[in-house]
Order: sequence, then structure tokens, then C-alpha cells
Amino acid sequence: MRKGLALLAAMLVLVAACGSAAPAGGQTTTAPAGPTKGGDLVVVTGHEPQTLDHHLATGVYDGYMSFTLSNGLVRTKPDGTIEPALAERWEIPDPMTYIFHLRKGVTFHDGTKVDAAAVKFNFDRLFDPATKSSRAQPRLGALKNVTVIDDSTVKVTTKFPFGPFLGSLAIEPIAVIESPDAMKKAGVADYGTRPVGSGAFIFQEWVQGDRVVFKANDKYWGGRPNIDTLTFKIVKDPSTRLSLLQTGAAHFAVELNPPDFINLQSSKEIQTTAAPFDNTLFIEMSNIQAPFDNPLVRQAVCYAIDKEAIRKTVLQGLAKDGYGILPTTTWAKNTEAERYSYNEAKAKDLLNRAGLPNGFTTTFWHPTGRYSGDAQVAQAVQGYLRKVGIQAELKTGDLTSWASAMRGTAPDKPGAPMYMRGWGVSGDPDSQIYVLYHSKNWGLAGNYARYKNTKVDDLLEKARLETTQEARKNLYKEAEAQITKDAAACTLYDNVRLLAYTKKLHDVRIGPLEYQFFETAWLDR
Amino acid sequence: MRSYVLGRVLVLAAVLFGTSAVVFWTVRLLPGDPVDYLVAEVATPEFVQNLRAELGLDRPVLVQYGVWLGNVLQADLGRSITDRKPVIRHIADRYPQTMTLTLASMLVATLVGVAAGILSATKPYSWFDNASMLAALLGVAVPVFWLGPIFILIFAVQLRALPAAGSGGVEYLVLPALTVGLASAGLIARMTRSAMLETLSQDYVRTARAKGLRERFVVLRHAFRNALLPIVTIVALQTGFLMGGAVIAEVIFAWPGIGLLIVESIYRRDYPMVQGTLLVFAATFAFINFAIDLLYGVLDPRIRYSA
Repeated sequence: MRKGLALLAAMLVLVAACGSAAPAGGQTTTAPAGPTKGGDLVVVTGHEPQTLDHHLATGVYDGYMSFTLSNGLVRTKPDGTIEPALAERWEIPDPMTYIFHLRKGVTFHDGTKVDAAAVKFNFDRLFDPATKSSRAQPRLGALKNVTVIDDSTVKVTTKFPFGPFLGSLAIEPIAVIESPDAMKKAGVADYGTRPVGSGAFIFQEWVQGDRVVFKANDKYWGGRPNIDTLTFKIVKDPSTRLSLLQTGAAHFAVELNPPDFINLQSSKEIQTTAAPFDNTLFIEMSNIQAPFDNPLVRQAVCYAIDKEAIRKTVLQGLAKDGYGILPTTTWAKNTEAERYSYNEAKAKDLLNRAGLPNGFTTTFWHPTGRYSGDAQVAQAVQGYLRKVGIQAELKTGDLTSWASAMRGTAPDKPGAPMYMRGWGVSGDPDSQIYVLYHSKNWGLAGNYARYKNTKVDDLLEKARLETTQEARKNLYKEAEAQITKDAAACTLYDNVRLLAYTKKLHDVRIGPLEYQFFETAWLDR
Repeated sequence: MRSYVLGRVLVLAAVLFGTSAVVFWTVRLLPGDPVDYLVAEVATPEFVQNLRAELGLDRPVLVQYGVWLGNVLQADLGRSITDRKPVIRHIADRYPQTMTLTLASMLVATLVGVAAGILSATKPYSWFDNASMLAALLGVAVPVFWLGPIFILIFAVQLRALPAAGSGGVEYLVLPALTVGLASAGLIARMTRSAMLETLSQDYVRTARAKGLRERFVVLRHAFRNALLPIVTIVALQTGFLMGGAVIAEVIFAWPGIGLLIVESIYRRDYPMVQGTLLVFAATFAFINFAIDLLYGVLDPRIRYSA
């Protein structure tokens, strides 16, 4: 009836009237004089941390939060080199001993001191079976003992000479140092919801499913951050993240869809960055399952794929061209690595020689939404394989399905015959190449492809025992060359993270990990 | 009446039991298990085995179900595998948000749908009628995951009238409620229209008009009142749709409700969470329908079932 219609019309008019202000124009930022203080920064991400207990970190974004509120003894610069954090300097008197000298006068957010006892407590708790940290052994298993020398000196020993050790301490969220007092008071069950660290930002609250909020630490040893509060809003939908950025409700958005990213590149208000992150994307094949147990077949697959074209068209030039197995962001990258160039004829020829002139059928597992454009890249790869006679049936699912499909059920029981996977360098190249290609890591431990070459095993082990970067770099070069020759996997490209943020935001520290750091960031006011 | 109520309660119990069983089995059909998610990239095989044993995942499925069901009957929904907190805690935290969204959507759907339906029925085949029925058809056809981003684009990004996503004050509720509600309003409008046309053609309506009653009175007091039964039915049935739509809307609008929780828990294969939240979800739906069933008795004195 008329009243109802009138009411409806009135409501619509009201809504329109609220929004009659013209959309905020893009003000070009005049050259800023220097960091302005104050402001509440909002970052939108697609994942929620599972826990804020640094020792129990497992998921993609758990480390992100831990690094925001805490520090480790050391940390990495964007270029991958290691710099002091809670330890202001250190010595390595022998390959199995590290002596760290802690910064003086640093306190945790609850006022307790950051001293050698605190460091020892953290590592003891990490390896305590009652804590049940899944990362402790695989990532820091080389650690033997932590001893307090005096209030500000700690001695850490390893079970064997382990080149990657310092890098692990820099990268691993499990290696950050948090307040023993807080951990004791909360107990293992509760600490994950109220962590206390010594970092630039103090944890305020975690509203499950919605946001994690931090506020600036006035007493931060690196200088008080410029912004007042930092909020990570959890928004699963990438288009919604984009909308929030466009309306100004968020200042920084992580992981956008490639087409949205491309559109934003011409925006006057928003800055886009395809940040390289220490991650190479591979097509891996099960080395112990026919027909992929024949190296000729694997090489054929590598020749069949036009990586260049995929990078340029599917990803619109957004991914970086890699060199080889190790991504371009690590110090051990090999700029002269041999690679498989696109050669359809050669691929067909190799298949002939392998006794498969008519190709074969197989299954190809890929993730969707884990890496930018992953599903489209998989389709492109399927297309290329079809041209040489390989019929690959595509399979996809969520993260857990994909993970379990790749791993298989036991070291000698592989999973999918062919799959897409990215793997990164966490602080040290060993964390990628050793995990992926050493034969004792078959299965869940990381070598999903079940690759085995004793020569490579030797080289990788030697590289762990060496402590000079130069020597290790050469060993990795040799290992990489052999792995490539064996075509254990085909590298596609170096992954990037598609980030976008308002041009009013400055000095965000991006990379090399999957995270971004806001200690030095500031907003135009 | 009492035996009717009793009968309905038994049906309710059976539905819940059946739902719990179905949920329990189907979530385990998904490849991977909670441990696969927890260890994410790398772990030692011993750790994995220990964790599986600890979570009771190595026992036969039937045993696991029995244990879980036993606990449920003692009002214990277990603990989330992800953070070891009680499932009930998580649900209690997020449930009100979803209910707010569902009720708001229901309000939108009912008000818009009923109003449009009544108006259409009073002037059948007029321009208004044709237009609103077309809109109703579109509303039924258009999916929530399309309408949502469109609304965000128009009202948030272009007009800056409303926030794009998140929660907070009432302004955050408007777009999600409209998105879910309007889709359902279409169906309610059509149902209302046909129910009204039916009653408006009845003899008693003609009598009421002959008596000289004002048209508004005739339409609302007599025709509408009698058309209520089918309308209420459809609104009740729409609850399920609205709750489902709320889940989708929660993802799009980053509305921190139980729907988002369910989606997350499925990704993580957090079995206790999935089972617990879906059970609560199903119970809500079942209870609402149960209440509506009882409401029939109130609305129409003819429907007082005897044994």
C-alpha cells in the first residue's frame, strides 16, 4: 500500500543523501618534510593467525604477528643479510658456538628485563615436549644448548657445525624472545591469546575472525614507531580487500587478485608493489612413480613449458624470472644456472626416446588462491603439456587437500604424480634446497618428489658444515646444477606478493619474508 | 495440542541426530586431516604420529563418533584442534553476530517482500505489479556473492555512503543485510502476491467491501490476515536460506560471525569445530521451524491438531 511504498522511497532517499558527498578526490601528496607522528594504520590480510604463541607458530601468518610484537636475537634486512636485533653483536669462536651480546636496558612490554635468562627460558620452553612445538625440531633441531654467561651474554651451541644456523635464528618465529614472566603466568594453553614481546608494537587484542590490534611501544629500543596503532583486519575475499583500500578504510592490502592489481597500477591514490618474496614456484613430479621415474620424461616436461609466455601473459609480467632453484632474493642465487628453455620439439623427442611417442595421461594437482594466479598458471601448463601429448587432468582443492595430496602417506608412498608447489628460503638457502632435495627428507619432511641423488646429498651436507658464504655458495651451485640436470622438478618463476597501499603511507619495510614491517612507517596527515 | 507438540519435539530430536551423523562423516571425506593442516609445511613423522594419537584420530571413525556424541549429550562440544579452546566459547563469541545479520536480513526480506506483494496484489497487472514481479524474479535469480560486491562497489566505493566491510555500528549491517535480504524478498513478494490474490477474490472480502468498509481495512484486516499462513510458511522456510546467505555475506563483508568460523574450520579440518558449529546451526534452523509450527496453532484456530 501507499504508506509502505512511501516508506521504502524515503529510506532509499536517506541512504543516497548520506552519500551525496563526492568521492574523496586523489590528493597528490606534496613532498613530505619528514615522518609525521600519529595515525592509526589498518592493514588487510586474507589469513588469520592460528595462535600468537611464537613457539606454536605453524601457519602462514602466525609469524607475521610474532615479528610485529617481538624480536629475535638477530634479524634479516630486505636484501637477506643478517643484522643485529636483540643481540647487538656476536662472535662465533668455533663452528658450533655462538656468543651473543645483548642490548642493554631493553624491556619486555610488561616491564620485565630482556636478559640472558630470558633468552635461555625461551629456548628451553621451545624444546620442552610439553609445549608441543611442531617447528622446533625440523627448523632449529641443530641447537644443542643455551647457557647464561652473564646478564647480557648468552652462549648458544649447536650439535654439529651448521652454516644456516644464524639465518634460522633470524627468520624463525619460534626463535623470537618473549617475556618469561608472561609465559609462566598464562600457561601454554592461554599464552597464544596474550603474547608479550619486546618489539615495536604492543599486543592489544585479538578479536577472533576479525582483527588483531597493536599499539606503539613508546620504549622500543629501535625508536618509537611513528604510528599510534596498527590493526590487522582479516578479510578473506580479495575483492573486498581491494574495496576497503579504495574507500580508505584500509591503508595497506596484502595479496590482491592480479587483474585488480593491474588496474590499480594507474591509480593516483594507491601505490602497487609486486614484492619479490623468497619463493620459487615449481612443477614437481614424483620421481619414484612411472612414468616420471625416467629422467628423460621429467626433462621433457621441463622443455614443454614456455615459462616466459606464462609469466608475461597469465601473470601479466608480475612474477620475476628466476634463475634456478634458489630464488633471486637469496645471497646464494646462481645467476649462471642452466635452465630448460622452451623447446616443444626437444620435449617430443625426449618422450620418444623414453618409449612414450604417444605421450601419456597423468594427474596434476595445484592450489587455488595460495599463490597469485596459481589456477590460471596450472591451466596454461596443462595446455603446453597437451601439445606434446601429455594429458594432464587438473585437480585442485583447499590448502589442506593440496598439502595432503602432495605429501603422500609415507616416505615411500608418494602422493600425486605431478603437482605445483612453491617453496621459499627462510633465512638460509639450506632451508629450501636441503629440505626439498635431500634424500632423507622423503615425504612429510619436505622432499615430496622423492628425489634421490647421493652426490647431491653429499654436497648439501657439506654446505651445512661450511661456515663461509663463499664456500657454501659454490657447493650450492654444484648441487643446483646436478638437480637441474636430473630435472627433479621444473622451475617456473620467482613468486611475488601483490601488495597495494595508499600513497599517503611511507617507509614500510617490505620483504624478504612473506611479511611487511611497520616500525618505520608513517602516514601523511 | 500437547501430542502435537510432543510429536514435533521428537521430530526435532531425530533431525538433530541425523544431522550430526551426516556432518561427522562428510567432513571426514575431505582429503587431509587436522594434523595435515597443523603441520603445514614440514614436520617429523614421529611428531605427526603423536599428534594424531593425541587427537584420537587414529581410532576407528565409529568410535570417534560415539565418543563425540556421548559428550554432546552432556553438553560438551569438545575443544577446537586449532587453539584448544572450547568449541562453545568460539560459538558464543561469534553466534550473536550471525544471528544479528540473519534477523536483519529477515526484517529486510519480510518488510520489502510483504509490502511489495500486497501492493502488487491490490493492483494486479499494473506497471507497479509488473515491475515488482520482475524485480522479484531477479532477486531470486541473483546470487549473494554477486550482489554483495556490486553493492560494495556502488554504495561504498563510488558513493562512499556506507562502509565496504567489517563490523561496528549499524552502518556496517546495512549492506550485508540488504544483500541477503533482497535476494529472499523476491520470493516472499511473489508468495505474498499470490496468497493475497487468492484471499482478495474470496466472498468474505466482497462482503466486507459491500458493508462499506474502507479499502485499506479490507485489504489488511481481512485479506492479509487470512493470507498470513502461506506467507509465514515461506518466511520460516527462508530462514535456512537466510542463514546460508549470511555465511556467504560474512565472507564477502568480513562480518565476524559463525559462518566465517565454519568456513575457516573446514579449511583447517578442525573436526570438533565443524561438527559443533554445524550442529548449532542446524539446531537453530530446526528450532525456528519448530516455533513456526507452533505459531500456526496460534494464527489459525482451525489448526489445533488433536491426537
